[in-house]
Amino acid sequence: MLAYTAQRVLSIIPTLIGVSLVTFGLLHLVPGGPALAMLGMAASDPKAVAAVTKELGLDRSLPEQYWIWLKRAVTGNFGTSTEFHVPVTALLFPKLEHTLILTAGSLFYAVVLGLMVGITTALYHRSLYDRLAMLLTLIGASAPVFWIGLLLIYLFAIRLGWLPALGMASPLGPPTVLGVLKHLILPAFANSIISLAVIARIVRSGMMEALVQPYILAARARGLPRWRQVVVHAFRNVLPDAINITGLQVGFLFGGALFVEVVFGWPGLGYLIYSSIQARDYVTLQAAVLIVSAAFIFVNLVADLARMALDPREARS
Amino acid sequence: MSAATTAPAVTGELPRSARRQALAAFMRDRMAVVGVVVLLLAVIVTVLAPLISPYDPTEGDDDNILVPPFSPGHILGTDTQGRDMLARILFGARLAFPEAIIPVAVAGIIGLILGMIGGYYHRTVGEAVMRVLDVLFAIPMVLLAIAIAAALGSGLPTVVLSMSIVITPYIARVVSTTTAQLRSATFVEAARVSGFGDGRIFWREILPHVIPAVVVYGTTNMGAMVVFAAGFGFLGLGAQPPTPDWGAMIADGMHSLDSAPWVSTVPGIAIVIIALAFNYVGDGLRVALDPRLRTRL
Amino acid sequence: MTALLEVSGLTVRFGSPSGEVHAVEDVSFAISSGESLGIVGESGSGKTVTCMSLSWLLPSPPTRYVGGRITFKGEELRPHQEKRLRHIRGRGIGMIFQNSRLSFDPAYRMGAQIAEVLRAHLPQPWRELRPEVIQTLQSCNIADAEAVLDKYPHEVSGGVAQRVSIALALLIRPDLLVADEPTTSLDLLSQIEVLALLEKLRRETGLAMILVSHDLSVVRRIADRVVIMYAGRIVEQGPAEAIFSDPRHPYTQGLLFSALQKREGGRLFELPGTPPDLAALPSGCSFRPRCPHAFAACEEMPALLPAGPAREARCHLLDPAARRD
Repeated sequence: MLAYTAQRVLSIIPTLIGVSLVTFGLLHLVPGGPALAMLGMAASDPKAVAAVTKELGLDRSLPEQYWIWLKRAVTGNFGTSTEFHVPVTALLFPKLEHTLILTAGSLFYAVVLGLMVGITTALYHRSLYDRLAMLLTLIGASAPVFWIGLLLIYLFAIRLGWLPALGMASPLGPPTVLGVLKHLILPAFANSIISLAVIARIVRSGMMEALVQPYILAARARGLPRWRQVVVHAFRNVLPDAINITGLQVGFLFGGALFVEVVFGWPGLGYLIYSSIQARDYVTLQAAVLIVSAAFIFVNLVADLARMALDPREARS
Repeated sequence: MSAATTAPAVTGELPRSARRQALAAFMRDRMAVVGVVVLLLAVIVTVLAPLISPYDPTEGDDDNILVPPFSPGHILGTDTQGRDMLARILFGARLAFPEAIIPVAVAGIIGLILGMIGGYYHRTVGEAVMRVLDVLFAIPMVLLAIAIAAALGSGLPTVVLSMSIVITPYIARVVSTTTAQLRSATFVEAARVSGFGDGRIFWREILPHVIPAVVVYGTTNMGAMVVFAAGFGFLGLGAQPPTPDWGAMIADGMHSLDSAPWVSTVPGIAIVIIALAFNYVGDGLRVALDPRLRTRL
Repeated sequence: MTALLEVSGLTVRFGSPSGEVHAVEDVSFAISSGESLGIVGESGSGKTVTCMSLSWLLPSPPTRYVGGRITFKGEELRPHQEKRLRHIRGRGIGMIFQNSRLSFDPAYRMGAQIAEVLRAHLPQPWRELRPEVIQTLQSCNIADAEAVLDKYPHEVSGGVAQRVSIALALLIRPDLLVADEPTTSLDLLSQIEVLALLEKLRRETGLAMILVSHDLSVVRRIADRVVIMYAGRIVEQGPAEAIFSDPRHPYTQGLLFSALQKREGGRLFELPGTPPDLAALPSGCSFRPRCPHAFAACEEMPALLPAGPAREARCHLLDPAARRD
């Protein structure tokens, strides 16, 4: 287990290097090249172009350019936003925090509701409830998140007036934890739906398989109460798969946050990415992609290790 | 009775009868058949859009702005510029289908090649190929695609290109897993021992078994691709206005949500119907082409 | 004296794509305290479903409990009364399964699983019970009992798992122990050990026991009385000695003959034909297609007819009236 942990932790290093290469390459895709991308409007000034070319070594070979870029990135220097004219780092980290709040909220819905739906549909499979729940999750998984977000806003904010539609906190007065939680309900739910459906389906099929295993029949024959058969035994054996799929969902939740933040005016990385796309602020875009990917890699590492720790058969091998 | 139904498994089956069995299994899946019918209808309507569309999808009518659905002359209402929603949905489908299908086809071919190399030469070149693709898994798919599209500039070719790039690793992984299994299968082993070259083994022994896996994977994910493509439109990275694009239409209705919710709602419904149809067809294909699943039902 | 367990008219069916499976049809038998009963039959004869149904163990649906009365210690047990049945299962009727390794959850250590079951039935905390657990495991021929408690099911052998599951069943002190093919999935050495253990239990505790097996030699060593099942029905029952020395039903005769051949190392004699499809039973006697004596009367299902002291068999051969034509 320890050896595996060490090996798995070390394995993220080549991945991180690969991701940094991809994000580095992003600026080279921009028509006009990285100098234009770095400068935005200021690219019309030849002196500025010369300065950037010198600073980033744009006149040197690509590996050298990458090395210069990487050294700057590791020390937290992602350059200056062409749109907001501040260091990208200062722009990024507060937003990352907001996006993590949104992602955590979405994950909460996806896991809690996904497990509930997955377990109950497995218990009552082929019932009317099961069919209905499966149809709804399939529809939910076939709909764009931003569209679901708009439907939720229309229904719960505009029509019923129960919940706030926009932003992260009430504009009046200082932000409160309760206020943020209230603002979180709709966007987090909208973002969670696809993951909720995926988790529900995986858990449902896993539970259906687990519930007919001999050890469940044996637990029944030994007089264990039903809830122990279902939760302590059947679900425990689905848990590694559930954790694995949940870890993978985090990536989709980060992706979905991009759209949800736009719809709900949530001031996170997604909204920042959206505005930098609109403003062609490639420097900010590049840094945001790198940060989100790094967060995703980290979350997957944790999920993978948790899954290993929970499976006695795998942990030994 | 039961002796008759189990007999073919014992006697071994001809490819043609296998195909017929797969078709029969597919036809038994009612939702999959409904899905096929919906998609066929959608394709026909899309092709005929210029003939059957009641209005020009790009031409606004200042006197008929935000007409609600089910109004005479505008069954699905009109948008913020008075353009007929039905016409825009019909013409929007002409973008939605290619945006979903072309990337899957492109990624299918590239992923097939990379995946077969990755699975077959898994100790040498293949390992390197799969490692490179692994990096792409580490970046959230939607984010990567949007970043690429944003860097390249908006438009249909950009959308197709960036979607192709991000789904290629997924298809390659499916192919490499299948290829790795086939590599040690008896008939491939036999072909190798008989001295057949790698090219012939790829073409004759591996490809026919890998293609169904790719087709199933592609079809199952086509629904997600329709949704994915709409995301580009929503962010303004897709086809540029006034070209009707379902994702862009949803974004368009965002600001009139309280007074005219249908502008955002209607294109979303179109997306859900098409995506749902693809999902059911994909499910049906998976069951039909996988004999293990077929017998379990 | 009233019976410990009385089964009458038990009928269990399942839905299946090829029709309704008649797993158990009109099965009745009784077992009194201290008695041991063997149930014998091929796979698909309904013997396993019968013993699973004693505490209505199989989930319903999909199982359909069509009919039957089960009386345990004078109390009628009904299906779906899960709250009541939970206390009967394990505590009243202990069970041992064919593959005991699979009857333990792979995710937990053996000790935790034993503790969990004991906690469900006994008031004492695990700390107090532990010495007794160790002792019982040792009396079930598990030498390194302490170590076994710390192992996962996949880390112990099938024989050890089977002995742990016997020990676990005993720890709750059931009134009746049901063992479903307890030796079938074991290697030969473990078979002998487990069988010896069950024999010892019989001798020393006088625990009432139902032993289900397709293997006559296993049943012969343990059972006082024997029930022979075929295609979901009882075809013969009576005292073990009498049945083994003088089988009356052609099916029992065939079974005994093939067992005899096997023991003498001769060419394997198998009953000709295969057991019928339980979803499409032949009309009349289910054994008719394979029976060397089948005659006209067999087109009707025979009743269980008296076949000697405390014996019954389901065969027209025992009915002089039917035999005449």
